Amino acid sequence: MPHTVRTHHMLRGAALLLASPLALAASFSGTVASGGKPVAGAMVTAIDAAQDQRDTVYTDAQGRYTLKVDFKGPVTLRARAPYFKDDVRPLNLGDGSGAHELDFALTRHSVAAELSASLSASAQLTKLSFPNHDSRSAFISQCNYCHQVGNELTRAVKDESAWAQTMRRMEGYFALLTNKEAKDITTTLAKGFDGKPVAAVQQHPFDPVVARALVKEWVVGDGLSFIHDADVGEDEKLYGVDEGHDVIWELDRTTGKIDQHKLPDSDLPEGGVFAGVQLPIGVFTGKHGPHSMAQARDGRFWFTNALSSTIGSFDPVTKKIKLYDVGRTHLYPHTIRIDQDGIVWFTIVASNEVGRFDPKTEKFTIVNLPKNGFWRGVTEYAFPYLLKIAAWFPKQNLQMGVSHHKWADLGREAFTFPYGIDVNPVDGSIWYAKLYAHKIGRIDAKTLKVTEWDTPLKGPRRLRFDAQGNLWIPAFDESGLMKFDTKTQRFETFKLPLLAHNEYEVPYALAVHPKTQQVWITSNMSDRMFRFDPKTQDFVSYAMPTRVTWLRDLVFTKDGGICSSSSNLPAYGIEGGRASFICLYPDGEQPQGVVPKAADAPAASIAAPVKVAKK
Amino acid sequence: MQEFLIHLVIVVLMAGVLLFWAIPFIALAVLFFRRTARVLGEPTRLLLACAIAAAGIAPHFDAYRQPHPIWLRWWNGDEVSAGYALASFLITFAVVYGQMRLLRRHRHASAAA
Repeated sequence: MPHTVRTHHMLRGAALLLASPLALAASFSGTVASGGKPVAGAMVTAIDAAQDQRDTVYTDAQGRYTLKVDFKGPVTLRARAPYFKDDVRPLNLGDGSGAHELDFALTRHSVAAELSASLSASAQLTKLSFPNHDSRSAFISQCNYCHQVGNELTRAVKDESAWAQTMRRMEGYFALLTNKEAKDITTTLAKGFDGKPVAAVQQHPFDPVVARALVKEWVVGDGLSFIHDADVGEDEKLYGVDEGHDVIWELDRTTGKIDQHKLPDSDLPEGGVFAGVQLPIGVFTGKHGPHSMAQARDGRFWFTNALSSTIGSFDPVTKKIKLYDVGRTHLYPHTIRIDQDGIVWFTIVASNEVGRFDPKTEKFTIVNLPKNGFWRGVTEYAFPYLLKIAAWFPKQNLQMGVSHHKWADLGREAFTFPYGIDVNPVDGSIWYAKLYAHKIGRIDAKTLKVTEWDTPLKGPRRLRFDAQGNLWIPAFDESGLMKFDTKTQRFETFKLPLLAHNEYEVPYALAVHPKTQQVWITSNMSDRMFRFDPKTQDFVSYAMPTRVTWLRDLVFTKDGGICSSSSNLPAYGIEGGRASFICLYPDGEQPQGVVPKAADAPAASIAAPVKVAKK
Repeated sequence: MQEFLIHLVIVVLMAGVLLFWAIPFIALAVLFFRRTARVLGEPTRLLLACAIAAAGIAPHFDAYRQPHPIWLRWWNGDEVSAGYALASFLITFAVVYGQMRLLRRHRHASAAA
């Protein structure tokens, strides 16, 4: 494989370093090509010696890239592009300074199995042929609920009885399926994941704006860490709640230093209120299950504890954590947001409620949401007591033996699951999405009056407002994006850009950039992130450098980053085997306060799929 | 022991559902008990009526330990072995018969008082 590495300390390199915001930075520049032709949109990643940090840039239309890192000593450089083999080079940066020229020469995959293995989970899933629409919908909703299916970990070749065992384990983890759905999915997985390569028909349009972007990843915790959500503090550090281990992670993006803050112990057993449930083995070892977080104006973070039915506050200065009991019949406090008056609002998914907490009086008000049907009312009434009884037998899943989602053939329809929540900046009203009831709702913040609307696409998940009071909603079950104009009460829907016609995406969360008003969306089945411009209605797709990237809440930093936690469950399923904080800087790292530019021209060219020989 | 207790708790919690599915059998048992008063003695009638009811209630536990009446399983075309079915029937019969004996004893005692 022809390549050149030329390290020189010339004026050009010195100028590059002076221009960089990083002190003592090393820089790499060069090209990524194949057969003498430039590869546009290729990802060039530098990985530090400890494999704790990964910085990535994209090549431009001429295949050129420039990457600056603050790593020292041995590093690994990797060039990656769809349909090509990775080109990986070790390099020693010594004291971490210097300008290095490094050209990559990629070779196309020529073995079908290797090409197939390099494709995203979304491509692998095209091998699954479901017997009916309902079972496919249940699969998308429930099997992709916490993780990709189709990646290296989850596309293992197994016979039907082995898949049935896996399905039962997943149902124990709260996948809500009818017996028929479980059977159909089991059969489909056993037939579909047969170890044979998948046909590569993905198309990866190159968009020149992507070439300006930088992706930084900081690896956190171990293979069992589960940083459910991340938030950026006023101090520009990233904070993340580890639902599995009752820990708050703190990342200083400037130094790369990572600290952890343990939540106080509880009188509850492991698994908290859900002690009777066999939660994901090894991952859920805590009692609180911190899930979602948001920072208040006084600097304190507020976070929900899904397993202990509490919310907590974390002071990033004193590091003090304080917990507040919501009440143990209020099950699974979920997404949390704070309104303009400093009131903390959060959804309570398994109890069909929204919680309101006033930090001044330290009082909770629980808003009971519409039941949306008889059986869902039964769930709301019976589930807390059932969990209490189930807790007599820790981790034995007694609830599965009596749950009406099975015997009444309801599946996920047994729950409403109020999930995402946000505050309308125009009138201060509180809006939520019901994931399984396919509704959005409005709560009047003063009177607590509730109004609901059906969504045109299924699976409304973590919604967010733009500055004009338009509600943007990811449609998890239908690869879509919805906009709800709260003034006219009308929906608009948009289909997410897929890599192939027979794939799908599972958009988990989105966020509207406070300055540009562009909508950033997680995709999660194809290791990408989307930017949607409401003015032009164009999507820009950013490929993520790490396979099995599963992003949650998106937050914006002052230096132009769109950040999240990469928290596929389990983390050991992620390439490299560990979770991370991840920030995409669409225009590179900016001095704090600089407004990133709006999206430029749309896609310029399309990389055609290639034919490869079967092995 | 834990498994037994879990199954017991599940059966108690699911008793209503099991009895609902067994309504046709329970109705038949009551009818049988009433219509055979002139032909059979009470102990025999009670024994047979309880057997009919037990046949409608006897549960099969699926992979999630969820109990479903065996007759319903068979009707759906699911496989439940004869040995499992017999054991389930005998245990259910013992419980139903015991309950009915207690009930009748209590009723007789109340009538005598």
